[in-house]
Amino acid sequence: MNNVKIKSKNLNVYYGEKQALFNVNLDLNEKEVTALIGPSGCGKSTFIRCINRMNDVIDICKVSGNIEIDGVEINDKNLDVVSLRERVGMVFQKPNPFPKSIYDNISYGPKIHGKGETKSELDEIVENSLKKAALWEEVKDRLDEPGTGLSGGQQQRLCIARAISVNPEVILMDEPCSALDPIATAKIEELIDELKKPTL
Amino acid sequence: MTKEQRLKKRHNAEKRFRFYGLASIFFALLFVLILVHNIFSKGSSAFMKTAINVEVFYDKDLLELELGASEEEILEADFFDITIESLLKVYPAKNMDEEDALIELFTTDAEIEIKKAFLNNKNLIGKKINLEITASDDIDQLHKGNYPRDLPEDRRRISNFQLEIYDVLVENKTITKNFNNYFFKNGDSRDPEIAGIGGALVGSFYSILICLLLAFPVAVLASIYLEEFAPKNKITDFIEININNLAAVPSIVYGLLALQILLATIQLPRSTPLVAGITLALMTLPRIIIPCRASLKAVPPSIREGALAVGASKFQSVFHHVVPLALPGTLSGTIIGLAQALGETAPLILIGMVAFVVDIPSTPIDPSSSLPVQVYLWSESAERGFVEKTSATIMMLLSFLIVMNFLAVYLRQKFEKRWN
Amino acid sequence: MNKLTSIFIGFLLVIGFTTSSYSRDQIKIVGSSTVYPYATVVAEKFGKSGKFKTPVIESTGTGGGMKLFCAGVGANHPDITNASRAIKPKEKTLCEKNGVSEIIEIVVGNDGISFAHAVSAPDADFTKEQLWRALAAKVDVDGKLVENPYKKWSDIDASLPNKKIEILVAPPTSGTRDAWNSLVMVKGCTKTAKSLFGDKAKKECAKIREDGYAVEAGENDTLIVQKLTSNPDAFGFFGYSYLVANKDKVKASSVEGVQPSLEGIQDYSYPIARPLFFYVKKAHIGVIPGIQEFLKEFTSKKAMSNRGYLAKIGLVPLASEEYQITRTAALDLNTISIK
Ligand SMILES: Nc1ncnc2c1ncn2[C@@H]1O[C@H](COP(=O)(O)OP(=O)(O)O)[C@@H](O)[C@H]1O
Ligand SMILES: [Mg+2]
Repeated sequence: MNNVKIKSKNLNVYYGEKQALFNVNLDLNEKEVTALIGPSGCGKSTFIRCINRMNDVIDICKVSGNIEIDGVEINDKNLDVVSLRERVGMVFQKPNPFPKSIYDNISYGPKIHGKGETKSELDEIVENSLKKAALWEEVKDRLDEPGTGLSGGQQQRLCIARAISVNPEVILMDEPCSALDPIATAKIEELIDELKKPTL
Repeated sequence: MTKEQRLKKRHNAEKRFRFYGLASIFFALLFVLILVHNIFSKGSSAFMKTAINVEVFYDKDLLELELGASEEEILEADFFDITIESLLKVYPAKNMDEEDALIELFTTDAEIEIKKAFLNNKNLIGKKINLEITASDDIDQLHKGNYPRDLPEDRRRISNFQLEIYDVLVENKTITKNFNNYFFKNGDSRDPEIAGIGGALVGSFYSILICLLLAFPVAVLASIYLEEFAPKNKITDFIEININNLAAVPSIVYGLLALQILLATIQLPRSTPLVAGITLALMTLPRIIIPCRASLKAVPPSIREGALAVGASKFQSVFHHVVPLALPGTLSGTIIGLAQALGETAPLILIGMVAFVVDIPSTPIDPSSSLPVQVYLWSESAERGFVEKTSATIMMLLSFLIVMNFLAVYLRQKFEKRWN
Repeated sequence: MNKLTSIFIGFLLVIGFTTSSYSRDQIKIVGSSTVYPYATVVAEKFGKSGKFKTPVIESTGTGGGMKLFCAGVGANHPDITNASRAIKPKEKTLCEKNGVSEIIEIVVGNDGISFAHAVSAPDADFTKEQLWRALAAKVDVDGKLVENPYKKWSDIDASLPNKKIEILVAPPTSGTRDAWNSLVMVKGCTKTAKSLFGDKAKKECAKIREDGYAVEAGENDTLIVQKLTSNPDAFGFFGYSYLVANKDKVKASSVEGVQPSLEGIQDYSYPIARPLFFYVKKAHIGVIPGIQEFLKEFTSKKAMSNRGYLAKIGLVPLASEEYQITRTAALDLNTISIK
């Protein structure tokens, strides 16, 4: 049994008057893939967006209760969300690559966090991330082409590569395959399984 | 009603709609065509000017100049006598009145033209040379066919004697039509044949430049703040409504504001591109903020979320991702705003831009006119030659507007990124 | 971003700087649109003669010009204002209040207003009373004031043509209208009407009918000429210089039997004639370069005399006695009393 990584205690989320989550108490372990299942609208997205505080972006959304990562409360006004999101990456339901080159899509995260000072370090991060996302072979010859020119499945893997480029401890994925065909879905599921293995 | 009848009715409705649509496009085009035709047929002749070939003799004694005279000596020298001598040689005049009539065929600037030719070639002293001297406004209009010659003499500005000379000149082919460089180079003048839009062009350029420098950064920063950072509450709603209202405020109101604040209170110099630029900037500001905010709004939220999710701060997500994507729309909005400012006349009247300015302004604090104001001024002038000049200036203004609008469309299409 | 901010701040500094140190080496003239065509020609010649910049002339109307002129002394206020009438006592008070206490008055010449129609129309002759009757809002008929009943010229007098009255009127803001009001509407107003109007006779006499027989034509005199050409039944009035410039299109009708002419306007035998002026701020002489030289050029024989270049474009020159007075005022910088 692995250690508990994320702990939610009495988590309540409201969208304005409407309550979306009721007293969620849930422990998630490290080095595991945990899947949340439920009918549409039951609050899956709402829950995982609490873990990297993406709900801050929505004005009417109010979160109460506790979420701890490694025993540290993250639902705290004084916590720096930027460094939280560096540790907790996210992949969205619909692929959303930046309308920039494939290379820039991956290198953006490391750049703003000061990882990869030199061009060669960045090159290495880009290559590793794309390899881990099983996209390297497909795009290595066209890194300066726009990321938006890829197919839907490739775009989603690009987004996964973008999420892992900053070496996060947790990756949140919100129905990452719902917009993809079965073959692309299979590839990404395989990839998720790979990712739970500890990095070197 | 049977199924066929219903189907037929639906098809007919569509046909009717297509016909109405076509008809209205046809009418709109027709009006544009009439307008353009009207302006072009009146204005195109302004790009040509009539000149008369004159043999000029740079007589040493009359000029009181020696070979190798300095630039200053030449500028001081009196070219009046040789001008008169040269012009009178064009046709034999019997008495003073006829001589006057002959000289009236030429521009009042004939002396200056003869002097300029000499300044360009100082070796001409004591020599003869053929020069194309600009004809007077009346001859210019006559030669272009804009002046009726079949009226009785006392109703004509050109006398029978002058017509007689003109006919001889035409026969000898000494009267010519050339490209009218004065129209682009010169400032305003009361003599239509030497009047130009040079001063108005420079004035408009400075005004628009100042307008751009002031309005663009302020509008962009304001839109980014309002769209991305400001909390959504009653105050920002109120600001939003008022920006939309400001964009609809008639431009003359900004003129009044400028008159009160810029001229009366801050005491900036009247009739200058500086004041014009600031006034136009005030007017253009909301007109840039609106498209700028619209293009920021058009950037899909998923881009923002993507940036935030890799740990970008709000500021980074906005300036690294959202603003570059909104830039083409912002730029085209700015250009269209500036194009509107370029054609604006009403506020400029109030700040004294409607003035007779001959000297071409060298700085934005020199008195100046602007293109639309020049149109307004010339349309009020009595001399016939200004009719074509007015239309030609409108043509210039329209072509600038068209170029700017094309640029706006081009920028938007070229740099607009597509995101799915 | 920082660059942008610094450019912006630099720009504001430049504006601030120019404001505080603004001085002028170019004469600034405002005022009457009637004097404008003459002043601009003089200014252009003056500029071409070399030593000074060409004066900048803004056409603001006589009243507007006086307001700007009397607003104060200093580079931000104009040096000269043109006027199609003499300065009013009220304006003198304003000037004095703002420290503009020394003013030089220059009479430029005379202006005649022509009452004109298309060249193709038959010649016509009107008295001032007839013109007033055709235009006034209220006229006296059988000793009583009534709304203007005349629809045709022949309704006013049987000798006049049996045609609908159609007159294009200059707008109330123009100097031409001012002059028309005082020279035609007030002078042509009958005694009976004046006594019936009582206190406000001047104002009431000058009121123009609004029942469609008199149409306001806008400031643009060129446009009036165009409208007259296309409608031979219509009349309009404008400055004499427009008549001279467009004599192929429009012709003047006689007033009180007199056709407008240089001589007739000069000795005021043509009844719709008036003097034109400009006023100079003496405090600016010696501060703004060239004012004195400009006065000399304007009042020179070359410009103002019978054969001068202003006469060629329609200004009616002063008679020789008046010319001497004006020339002396320009040379000696004689000021007028503003008390
Ligand atoms: N931005 C929002 N504003 C208001 N209500 C929302 C918003 N997002 C989600 N909800 C509501 O919260 C509930 C949970 O939604 P969500 O977490 O998206 O469900 P799931 O991802 O399980 O389909 C739904 O009832 C939905 O209507
Ligand atoms: Mg969901």
